Amino acid sequence: MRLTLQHAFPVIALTVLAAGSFWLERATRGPGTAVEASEEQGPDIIVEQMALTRFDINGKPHYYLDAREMRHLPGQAHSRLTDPVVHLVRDALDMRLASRSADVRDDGDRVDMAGNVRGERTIPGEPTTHFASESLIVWPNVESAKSLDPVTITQDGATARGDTMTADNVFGVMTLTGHVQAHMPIKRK
Amino acid sequence: ERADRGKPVNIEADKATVDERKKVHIFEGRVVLTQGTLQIKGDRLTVTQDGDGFQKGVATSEDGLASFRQRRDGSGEYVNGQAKRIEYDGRTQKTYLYTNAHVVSGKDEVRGQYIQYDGYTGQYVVTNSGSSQANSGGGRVRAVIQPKQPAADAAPATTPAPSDAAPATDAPAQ
Repeated sequence: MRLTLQHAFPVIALTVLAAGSFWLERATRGPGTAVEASEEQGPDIIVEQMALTRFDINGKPHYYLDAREMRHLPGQAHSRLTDPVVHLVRDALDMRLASRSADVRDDGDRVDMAGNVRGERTIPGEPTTHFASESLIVWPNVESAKSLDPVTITQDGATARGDTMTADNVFGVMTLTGHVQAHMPIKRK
Repeated sequence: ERADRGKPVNIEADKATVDERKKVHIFEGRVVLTQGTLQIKGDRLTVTQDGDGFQKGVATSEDGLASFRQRRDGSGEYVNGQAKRIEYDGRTQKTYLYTNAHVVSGKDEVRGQYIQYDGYTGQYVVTNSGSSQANSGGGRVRAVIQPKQPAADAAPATTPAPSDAAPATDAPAQ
């Protein structure tokens, strides 16, 4: 059977069409999308009962980052922690923050805590300050934090609430914004 | 009211900044402080607490005047005051009003550049300067003290009717 041009034309046309659309799809693919494939990629490292210590410039422990489990996700350049605890210690300051989960970026500069975030700040001679919210971003190296969810702070019977919070020296100086309500009982010594 | 002294302080605002080291709380934006019958309003309120747990508050207002309100013991009347700056001392229950100060208690009214109101005794000190010391060259102090109603007529005649004694004044104006 002789294959005439007339018979072969549809096949050639389809081939050109397929090649063209394949080239078009490749050409229009955004930079991000190339990563998508690897985001589904699972963890490359899993650590159970993680305990990390970060030292300051003088060689003294500055903060501890512990977790029941750590999963490093290379595709997203961060690690997902389960039951994390950020424990900041410096001079007399002792600040302990816990939550259900947290994401830590590979550079370790920032810890995004989420789910039932609870904090306790103690300084000798001062009543303990308690913190509660649904989220908290902590920058342990520079000792600052921010929450974009409603926050409740309590200390010695006094309470303060706000829609969001920023804090330096992790609650040394704290700013609550939006629908702020403070309750201060009279405490006679 | 005397009972206010033991009541908790509640504050509402748009924003609060707490400095733990200095023990200073700064509230900004539609600030309302309430303690029992006492209520202070302003654009900004700075609250400090002394070693015994008493609070001191300084309320200021950007455009208008800060205001305060408190019920008086016994009479149940409210005292209302306004000024550019209002300072309240929880320990002594004294309120200090600075600049364009104006206090109204029942039908009594006082104006000056400085008014000190004692929540315990219901007494005022009013001056034309910015402090408790009068300033001879300054403006005038104005006080309107309404005569107190004589005892009810039903009282038996045996008791001598009060003569036209000077109306009881609360305000030893200076």
